[in-house]
Amino acid sequence: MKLSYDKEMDEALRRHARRADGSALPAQDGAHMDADEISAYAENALPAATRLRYAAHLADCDHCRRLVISGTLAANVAGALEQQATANSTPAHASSASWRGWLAALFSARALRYAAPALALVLVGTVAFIVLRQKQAPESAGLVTEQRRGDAQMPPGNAPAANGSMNSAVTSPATTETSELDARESSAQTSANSATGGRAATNAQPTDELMARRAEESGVGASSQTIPQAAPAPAVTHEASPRAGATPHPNTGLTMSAPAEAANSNAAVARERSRQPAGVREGELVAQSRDDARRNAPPAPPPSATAPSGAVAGAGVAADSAAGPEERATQSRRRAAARVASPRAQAQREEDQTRSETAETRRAGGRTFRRQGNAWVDTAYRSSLSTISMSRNSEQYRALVADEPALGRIVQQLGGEVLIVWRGRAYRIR
Amino acid sequence: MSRNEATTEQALLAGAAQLLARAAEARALDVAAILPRLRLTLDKYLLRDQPEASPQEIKDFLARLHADDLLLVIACERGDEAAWNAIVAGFQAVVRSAARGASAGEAEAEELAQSVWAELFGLRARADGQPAGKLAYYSGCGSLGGWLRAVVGQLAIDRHRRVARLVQTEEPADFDHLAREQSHGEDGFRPAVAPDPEQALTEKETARALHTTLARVISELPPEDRLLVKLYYVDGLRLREAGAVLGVHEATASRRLTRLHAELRRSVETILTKEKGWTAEETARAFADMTGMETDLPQLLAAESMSGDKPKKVIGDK
Repeated sequence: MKLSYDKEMDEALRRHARRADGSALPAQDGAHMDADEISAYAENALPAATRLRYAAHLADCDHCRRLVISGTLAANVAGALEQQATANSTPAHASSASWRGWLAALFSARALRYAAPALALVLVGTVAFIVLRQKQAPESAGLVTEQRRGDAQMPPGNAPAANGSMNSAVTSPATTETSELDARESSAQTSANSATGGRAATNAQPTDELMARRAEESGVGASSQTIPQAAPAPAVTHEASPRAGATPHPNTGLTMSAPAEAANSNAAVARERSRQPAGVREGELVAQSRDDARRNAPPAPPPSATAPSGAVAGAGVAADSAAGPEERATQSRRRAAARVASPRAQAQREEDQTRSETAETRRAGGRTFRRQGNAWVDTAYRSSLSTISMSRNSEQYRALVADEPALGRIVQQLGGEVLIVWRGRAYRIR
Repeated sequence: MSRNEATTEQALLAGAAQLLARAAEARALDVAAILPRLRLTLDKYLLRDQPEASPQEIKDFLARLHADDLLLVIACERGDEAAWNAIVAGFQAVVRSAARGASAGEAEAEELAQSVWAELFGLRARADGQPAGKLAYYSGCGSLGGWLRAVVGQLAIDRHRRVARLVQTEEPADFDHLAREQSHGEDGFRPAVAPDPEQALTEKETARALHTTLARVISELPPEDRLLVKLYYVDGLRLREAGAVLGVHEATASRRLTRLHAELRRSVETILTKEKGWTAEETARAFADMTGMETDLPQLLAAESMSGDKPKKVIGDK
């Protein structure tokens, strides 16, 4: 029903328009709009109340209306309006309309075309990652747990800063390095398996298992067969463990700080180790990790108050003293492995820290800025802040500096890309 | 100065300073140089319709002005050579393309463009000897390019008015317009010869009444609604273009038009039944006849003028 109404009304209006209505006002100079009014109206540059006034004239004056029409079409206002409509549907505006608009944009055909394969890739990657992790989970879990405990313990920083840094350096880079090692091992193993074919694999695997069993039982025997280089390491760590035994101090920094030289030798050991055949190394680490997991399981849930790495050391010590020289060797090797990353990482961390205190942070205008990549980032920055980007060459930036000269001075002082928090907003200046 | 004037003046000064700061090239101008112009613009476009505008609204209005375009124009007015070179270099192409769009041929376009620049340079002195530069009328609300296009358009229309009576710009209904002007009187509707002259007369009366009422109702519409009707039906714009003129999205324009259909219809029906004493049935029939009627008027007129007795089509048979 409504359709026929519209049709009739539409037709009525069409015919009505065709009638000579003579509505063009006489061409009095005063009555018409001037070029400035016409172009301002056509570009939608007038305030709402003013627009209404001109609309009244335009509705009745053919002459001015035609000029406005050609001005509007020329200014491509239609295209700009559509752009504005999509811009308004960004999450910046908190309204339900924009929510839907944002969702609509998210699920639009174009986005989906790229999102679908991307998602598929991500899924495949995640699954592969999980599978790989599961293979290593028992081994690395133990290492990670003890290292995390070490990390948690550190912040009550009675330790000298260097120690603290070293320890935390031990924990996180150690974790990454260990997991890197693990990953490398597993990938090395996989490639070894695939490359050398079934025979090598089957050879490697029984060897690993054999080694593992041997390590479990006799410790030194099997390991000493395969890893002669490990010999110096236990000696070194022997040095460390008595100290650890003597002072199971929460401050594991002491424990760890011992081997400046040991660190080097550990590093050397590690490097040599990395040159070993993949399968052998894998087996060794597997053995070690399994030992770790089992050994650390009993003392595993320590209250955070107690010395975590100290507990490790303590457990290691206890285990050492309990298990005898073979066990001690294994333990030491394990700890050496854990510390494989530490020397290199320690040095790195020290470097980072000192740098962060000088060249990596700057103070300007009462704010502190940290270097991140190519940009100076305000330490007060939070991702929850609304961020406005602008370039130094833009009118927007010049207006901002005119309003806030202090901000301009800071940005000028820092140079390059700056992310600064100002009056509850974040500005990214390029 | 009243408090309101004082705050307005303050906001004006602040806006002027900000405008100078955000321009890429200040062209050696200071606040004093641009203040008079800004004051005029503010009065003309904001304060006239919103005399109680707040300082923030004033600041926002001034912040939307095209800073670089405005400073360029003001510098030109002060005789800055570099500014003149810049404006010619930057906008020669705009003026030329606008002139081409408004002219029949290249020669005419070139002549039109030259006249525009002459007017801008103010070579045509006013009666009191002051240079009559058009630049003084540029406010900075719209872009300089848009303003120049409008200047070209106006100049072109003035020229054509002097040359011919008919307006140059095209509209789709022109032909019908002309046809009707030549052969009809006041109303634009004439049915083909009907077998029943009385019926034809009735129908003609009906249509005329409807259109008169419609005209009245349209004239009583709010300005933007009336403008929409004109843009869509008289100028023949598409909804998207009509929306662009009004500064709204196409969907908004479409909704408005649908609403207008309903409103206009209701109003017309009310007037016809209440004031003219029509029955509802008669009203409905009048509208229905709109769609059922002969629409090919020019052909109709041609046939009619050739021989009055030959019926082209019988209308009114349902």
